[in-house]
Amino acid sequence: MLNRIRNFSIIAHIDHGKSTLADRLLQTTGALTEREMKEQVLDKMDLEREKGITIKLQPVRINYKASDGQDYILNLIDTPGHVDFTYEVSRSLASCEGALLVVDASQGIEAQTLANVYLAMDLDLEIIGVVNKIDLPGAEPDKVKEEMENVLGIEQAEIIPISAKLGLGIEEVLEAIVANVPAPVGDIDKPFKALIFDSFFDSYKGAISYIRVVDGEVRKNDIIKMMSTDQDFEVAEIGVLTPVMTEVDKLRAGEVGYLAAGIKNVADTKVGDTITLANRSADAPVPGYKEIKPMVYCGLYPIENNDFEKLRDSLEKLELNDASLFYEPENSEALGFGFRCGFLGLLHLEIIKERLEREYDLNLLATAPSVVYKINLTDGSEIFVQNPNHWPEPQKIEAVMEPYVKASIMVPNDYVGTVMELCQEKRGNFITMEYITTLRVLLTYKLPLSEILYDFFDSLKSRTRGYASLDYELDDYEVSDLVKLDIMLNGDIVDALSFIIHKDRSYYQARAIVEKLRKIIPRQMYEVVIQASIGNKIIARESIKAMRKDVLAKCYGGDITRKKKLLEKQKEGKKRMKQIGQVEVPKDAFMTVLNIEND
Amino acid sequence: MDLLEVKTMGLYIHFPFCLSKCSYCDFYSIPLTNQEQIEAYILSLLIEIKLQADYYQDFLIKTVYLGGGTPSLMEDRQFFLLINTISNNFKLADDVEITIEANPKTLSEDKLKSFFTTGLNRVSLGVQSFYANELKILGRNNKLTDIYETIALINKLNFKNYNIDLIYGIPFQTRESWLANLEIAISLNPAHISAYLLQLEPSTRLGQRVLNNEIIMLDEEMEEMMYYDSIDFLAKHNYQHYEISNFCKHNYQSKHNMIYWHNSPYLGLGVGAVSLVGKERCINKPEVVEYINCLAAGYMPPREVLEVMTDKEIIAEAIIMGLRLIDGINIKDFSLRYNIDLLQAYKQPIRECLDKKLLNMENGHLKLAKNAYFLSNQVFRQFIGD
Repeated sequence: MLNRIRNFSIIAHIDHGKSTLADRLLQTTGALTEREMKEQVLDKMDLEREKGITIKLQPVRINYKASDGQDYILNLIDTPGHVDFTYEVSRSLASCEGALLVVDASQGIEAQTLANVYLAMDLDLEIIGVVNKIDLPGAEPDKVKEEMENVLGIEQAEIIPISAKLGLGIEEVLEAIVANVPAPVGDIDKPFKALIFDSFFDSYKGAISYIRVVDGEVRKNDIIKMMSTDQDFEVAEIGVLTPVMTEVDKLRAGEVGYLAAGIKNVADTKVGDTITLANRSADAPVPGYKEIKPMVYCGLYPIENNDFEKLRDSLEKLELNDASLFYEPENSEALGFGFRCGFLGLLHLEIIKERLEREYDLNLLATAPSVVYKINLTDGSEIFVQNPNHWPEPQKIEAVMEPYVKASIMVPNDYVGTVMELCQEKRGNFITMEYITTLRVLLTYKLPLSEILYDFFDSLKSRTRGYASLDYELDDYEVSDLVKLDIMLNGDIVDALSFIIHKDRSYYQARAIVEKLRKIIPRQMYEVVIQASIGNKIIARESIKAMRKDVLAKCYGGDITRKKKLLEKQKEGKKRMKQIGQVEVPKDAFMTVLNIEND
Repeated sequence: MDLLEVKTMGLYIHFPFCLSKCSYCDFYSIPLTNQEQIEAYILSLLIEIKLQADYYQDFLIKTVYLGGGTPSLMEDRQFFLLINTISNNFKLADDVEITIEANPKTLSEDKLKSFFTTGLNRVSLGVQSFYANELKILGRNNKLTDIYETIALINKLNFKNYNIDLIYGIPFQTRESWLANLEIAISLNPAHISAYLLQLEPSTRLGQRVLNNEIIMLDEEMEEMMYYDSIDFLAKHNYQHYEISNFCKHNYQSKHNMIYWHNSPYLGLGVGAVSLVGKERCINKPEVVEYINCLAAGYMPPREVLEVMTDKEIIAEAIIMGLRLIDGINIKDFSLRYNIDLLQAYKQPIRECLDKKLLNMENGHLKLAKNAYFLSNQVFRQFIGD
């Protein structure tokens, strides 16, 4: 039985056609009819389709009759492509024995191709090379194959040229999976043992876990035990994803599927936990995932103060679906009660915020993101600060350190100069430069994480006409000359607008922010003075004149309905504002501190 | 609470045709192509008057207001038919106020005389500005001489009760030219002056020009100065400021418009006309061809209910309309009429507005503070919605 199962992922640089290939595999094997087929079937969330990216990993079972005449079960675990979600990639890879490596025939190897291949190699996965988009006019499959052999050590002869869009080479890919990906190893006679590699919350069934069964088998009504918490649950439903949820009698060693056990508390199905049976327990858990640490933090606050509890519930539910999400309650003088949340990156932040707003019907405000700073205090102790409002008094600070990343940037050699310039501007330290091919260069820089987070990627893309690609991993902390910049409205510091910045950039940035706030805060009944300060020193100032006109010149019988609607709409508009002291501030204001350089 | 108790009402008659559309206008109006259009329309109006009148036999009509469009395009014969049909079918008060909106250039001496004979006793003249460059920006089709000729005619017939409409805040207008406009206006001795801030509607020609940055509006500070200049200037010349944008000599308020501000019932007749009866506000669909065809076939033109108000919504509307009047709301009368304790029911917004010095309480009246006239939406929003 086990030897008829193949568990595999697809890895690729973003936009190299991973989701299209997944769609095509489903279609070719008849897992979906033409009618059910819509683009990016596996990207379930509206957000994913809109943004054209994969955020959540997504397993699906494919039945395939191979050319050897045998029926196989292929479990495909889709993976996200954006660098923010590397953690999700590593989790799905851990549930597989093989990976399809997709490389675009006109783009060649990119920074994330490398990063993903290294992840797969670390896990000893069998890698099957695929060159995609061979139908495109600019395709150079032979050149890309050569690159893959030289850089990644994949033999050219083994690499399959395909066009996922046109459905070319799909059979060959399926055959290669059967032939080359090792069958899972596992012992059907041992006690049931399964790894939770993802989970989500269903309002009818409770928490649903995606599992990879390592040993033994599980059936409906079995009493299972979560090994990290020792909690018992009765299995209510097990099944596979085809990709629709389809109930089955049992899940056995080597198989991938889902499990529901009426689990109400989301914290009881931790991703990375091992499930076993209560009365016949496995002796040791599967090695889980290393606990991921968020790279960037920000405050999320409900616009309506009484939505705080609703936000808490929503975060709890989302957390189940997103193991990398971190949150804890915090209190802002300006914004009231909210949560300090940790994210893998800015895209992750944006997506979580949008999901909370769409799926849980919340109206949220996000404060400026911050990385985690390390501060040595004069009393000899060391603290970590991810909230600018916890920044110590300057006189208590011995040294401040900020996180740096090691960034790999793949770029055509024509653009090396401009990329180096950009890295320099972003306070980067050059490490190495390697020629991957005669025309393509891999630059390695150490850069402050805070500089990468905001607009680095956009600048990189625009300066290289889209040709550069980026991957990065957290490196270590380095001493840096950082200060806390406060923004004041009518003389009062707005804690939610404070942020940490390199001293050399503080004046420029302060002026830009104050100017921008002047533009986006509407006129109020009173004059509003906006100031930026470091410590007690004001370094920038703008003012918004008091509103002088808010009147309907004409109001007679014929148009009163329309005028009333206008007033009501304006009143609604005020709900998108946050009252801070006497000042009404649009909720976007809190993110603007980020977007200064894009203007 | 019985809001239907008040048994008087106003009649509003809409006349949709204009010689040309002004650049700032977003009302329902139709460029006039031939006189037959007017004739067909008037005949339809007569039918609607007869059909509607059946329902309002208990009401005493205190005012008749012909608005538009440019109702002064009507011939005297048509005007006579209209007023005659109204008085034959409705019960008119002895002191009924009959107003027509008129544009310079559309009134001859004979026509005006005939209107007066028929019963017209108030004229509202759309002057807008006494400066040619300002008229041009507004897209008005008349010349300055048309304005002066029409006013000379009114004065020659020794007719007192007329209004001059003026607009301020016109692009390129200065504080001086606005004051000069007012100066000219009072020298002509009208009983009533309406001074409206130019309100930019994005759908209009002027709105588009501003959106395209071809022309810029004056800044708020300037508009505010012009507004308070008008109040001070007109007060000095014995024009009483009685509504946000309206001024008159003693006892020359527009009775018809007072009906709106007092939230009293009015019946709208004609295409695009709006009625408020009881808790329901509705509009005759603004489709002139359909309007004419329906009535020619002998049935009512299509109507659309704009809103059916709850008691609370009626009261909120009465508050914001009432506060537009400079005398504000008589708290005792209001509380009696709507059977609520106004100060208690709206304690929180009233408190807030008093604290912010946007409202005043004087002699049993709740009224806008003078500095809040130009910020009155800040007050109104407090009372509207939930």
